[in-house]
Amino acid sequence: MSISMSISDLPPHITIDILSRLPIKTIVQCKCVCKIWRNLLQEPYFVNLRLSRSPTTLIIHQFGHSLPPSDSDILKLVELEDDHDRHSLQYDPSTKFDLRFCYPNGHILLVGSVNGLICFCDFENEALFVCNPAVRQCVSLAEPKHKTRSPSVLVYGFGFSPVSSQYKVVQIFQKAIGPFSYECQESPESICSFDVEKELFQAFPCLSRGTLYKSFGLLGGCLCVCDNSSDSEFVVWTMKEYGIKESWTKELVIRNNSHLDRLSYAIVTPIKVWQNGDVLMLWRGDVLFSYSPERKTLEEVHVPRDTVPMLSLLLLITRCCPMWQVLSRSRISGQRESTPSKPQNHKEFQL
Amino acid sequence: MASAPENEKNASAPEKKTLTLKSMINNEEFVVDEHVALQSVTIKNMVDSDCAGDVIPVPTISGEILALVIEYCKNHANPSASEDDLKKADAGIVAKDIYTLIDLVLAANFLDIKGLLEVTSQKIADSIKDLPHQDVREIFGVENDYTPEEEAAVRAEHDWAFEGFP
Repeated sequence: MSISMSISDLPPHITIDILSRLPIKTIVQCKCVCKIWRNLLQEPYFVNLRLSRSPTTLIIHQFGHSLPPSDSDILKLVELEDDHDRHSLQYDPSTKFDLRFCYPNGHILLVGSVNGLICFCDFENEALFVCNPAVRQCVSLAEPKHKTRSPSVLVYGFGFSPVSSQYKVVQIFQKAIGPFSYECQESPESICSFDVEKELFQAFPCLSRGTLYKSFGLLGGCLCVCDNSSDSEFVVWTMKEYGIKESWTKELVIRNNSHLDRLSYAIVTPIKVWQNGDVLMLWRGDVLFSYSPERKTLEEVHVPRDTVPMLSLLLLITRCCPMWQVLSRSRISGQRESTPSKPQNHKEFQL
Repeated sequence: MASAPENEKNASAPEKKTLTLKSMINNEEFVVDEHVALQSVTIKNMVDSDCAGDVIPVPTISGEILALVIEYCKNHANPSASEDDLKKADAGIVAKDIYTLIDLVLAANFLDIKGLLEVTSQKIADSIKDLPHQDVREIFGVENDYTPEEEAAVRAEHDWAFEGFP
């Protein structure tokens, strides 16, 4: 004889554990099961657990003037499934999300993504908003205190501070005072870091001089710099110990071959190291390819698509999670840092 | 597979210690090798702090469920079992109806056996996936405390997730 328990008899942490293993669509439906579940799904414990379980996801922003309006400004989520022996890209068309729901004007660009939240900007009007495609919610951020007049360099960053659990949008601009001068290139350190918690810029130990065709990324959890400024090879350096200059290590060298010809002199960003050691990389913001260090082969990876051909896409990487609570203004501080006096600070997001 | 671990045990621990676990629901008793039972953090803590007598009473867990728990612990205490073997064995243990799974997840939680908690929770999640929320309620015996208006409002907020569902 067994006592008959129902799922409602489970301690909350087990129910949360079970719910955190569900696909996003099912989680959203589970909000309708009962009020207790709805409340559990809003617990920070649930959000953190779900984020830790969520597969790495590519966000595809489909846009383009030649697309019919109904197909432009669409977000698509592609999950990267990674098993020991095989890896694949999974696209569920029901995750398609029309961005004009957030911002009817269109003409927006991705700023960044963290914890499944995505920040967008209409650069022309300096309008910013943050959306969570997993639950299709969106907030627009307050107007910046300093409207910048073009021409000026204008860059946004979107970050999260785990210390205070705050999301911050950082605006960096260069005032156009006379002709542009990039004094920062004279500085030995051409990387600046920005501490999202303390809101401080700092020079960061960089790899070497030269800033063209280089880009930042994360490779196996380490900060990396991809150097695509040579005819003969493409090199990825990783900083094994964060902040330690001596720990920059040549991680990958992809020698010239017929594929690389096509890849030379463009921004390349590593996206993920698969469990079998292959590295998924994004070339120029719209083509994916996979490099096998073991076989030394480079292959293009095709993004699963629905019937609409994707003419323009931009990919970002994130983990997705339904967070109903986070998208309230109080949790996203519309922090917009204007440039402090030194123009070096522009260098945070570009090498 | 059975002979190899036997030899190893004889070499390292000539005197095999056992523990008796007793279900307080139906008084069923199970004699288990100590190293098998110690996969339960709860039991390990009892043994470590000398709180365990000859018979360890296990409240709220039936003999049927305790047998499953012990089967899991035996499999995972076997040093020669491959990862594949364990995966298959785990799948067999959780291939049960939902009521058994809920009892099992509670047992894994009480006895603090991380791996078993993990596979059982995953199995329950797999059985919720793809079910309309009304079925989730019915199958899992969850009481709907929404008024029809409240439920419609929550649903309307996330229309897209219900496409193709009743």
